[in-house]
Amino acid sequence: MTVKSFPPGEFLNLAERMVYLKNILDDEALIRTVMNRCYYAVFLVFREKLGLPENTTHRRVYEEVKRKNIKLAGYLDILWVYRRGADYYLHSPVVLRGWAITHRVSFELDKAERCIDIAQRALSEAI
Amino acid sequence: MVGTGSMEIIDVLSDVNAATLVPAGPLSVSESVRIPSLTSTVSELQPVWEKYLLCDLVNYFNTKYRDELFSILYRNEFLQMLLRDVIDFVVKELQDSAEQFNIGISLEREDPEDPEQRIIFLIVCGKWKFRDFNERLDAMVKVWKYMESRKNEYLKNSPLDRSKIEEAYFLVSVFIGEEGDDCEVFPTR
Repeated sequence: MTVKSFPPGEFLNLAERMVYLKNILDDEALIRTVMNRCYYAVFLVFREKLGLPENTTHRRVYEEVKRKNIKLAGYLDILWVYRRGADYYLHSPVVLRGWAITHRVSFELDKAERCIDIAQRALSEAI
Repeated sequence: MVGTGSMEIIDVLSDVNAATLVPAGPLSVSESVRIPSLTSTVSELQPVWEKYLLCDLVNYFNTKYRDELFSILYRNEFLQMLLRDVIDFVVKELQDSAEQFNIGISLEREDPEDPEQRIIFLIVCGKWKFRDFNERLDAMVKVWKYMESRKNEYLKNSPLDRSKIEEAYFLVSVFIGEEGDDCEVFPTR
């Protein structure tokens, strides 16, 4: 077997497949994972394109992206906030600043779809 | 330091009172850097500084990290300039796209995977005429691009302040959110 580098854009493909699963509205973990994968797809693609080492911090990657292209950095920082909500805020993952508001799964799905929109834009514009 | 603090607070307060008599309007760079020197701590001055720094322009400072936000605003005048310039731009550019909107500021951090990461979000929440999220994203891109042009202008005019200018530029981001959707809207202060 050939050892080759995993293409991080595959995380976005996974998120796109997950968001269309029939049972997604019954499975908040899926929705949260979509948001998380969208961020990491973009973060890792950017990190690799910039040639930064694997232990580079989120902040450093963000700053390097912003130095080169503020639009791509803007996508990344919105995804960062959504990912943070999805990973750490158990009451509701979708509030921009991590403050809990009404918890509705359909509302969260809408945000997960937005994460996919942003990640698709980010990756297509980064090429 | 404590001994002189109260006098300076009064000085700042009188400035704030004078400022409230002037009709709100776009602020020039020279106005936004008119900061008196202070020797008191940020927490002592916070209520005054909140009003003085940006409260005339924004509706809320919603962050758990108020002290940190205000101390950065206090020590970096380019951050204040950038926020004021971007707020002016947002108000002019987006007024026709919204029934109404509010502007707020939040410092975001709390990422256990990277404790150093932090972003100051200028959050614009409103009822928009945009039909979908992509239109809102396009509006955000416009604001981000404007922010970049301001940063370049500051660097041209004040090359010796590069580190402060870059700190401000790397910290600030703008998010256009929808009321009741991906933004909370707090009562106007």
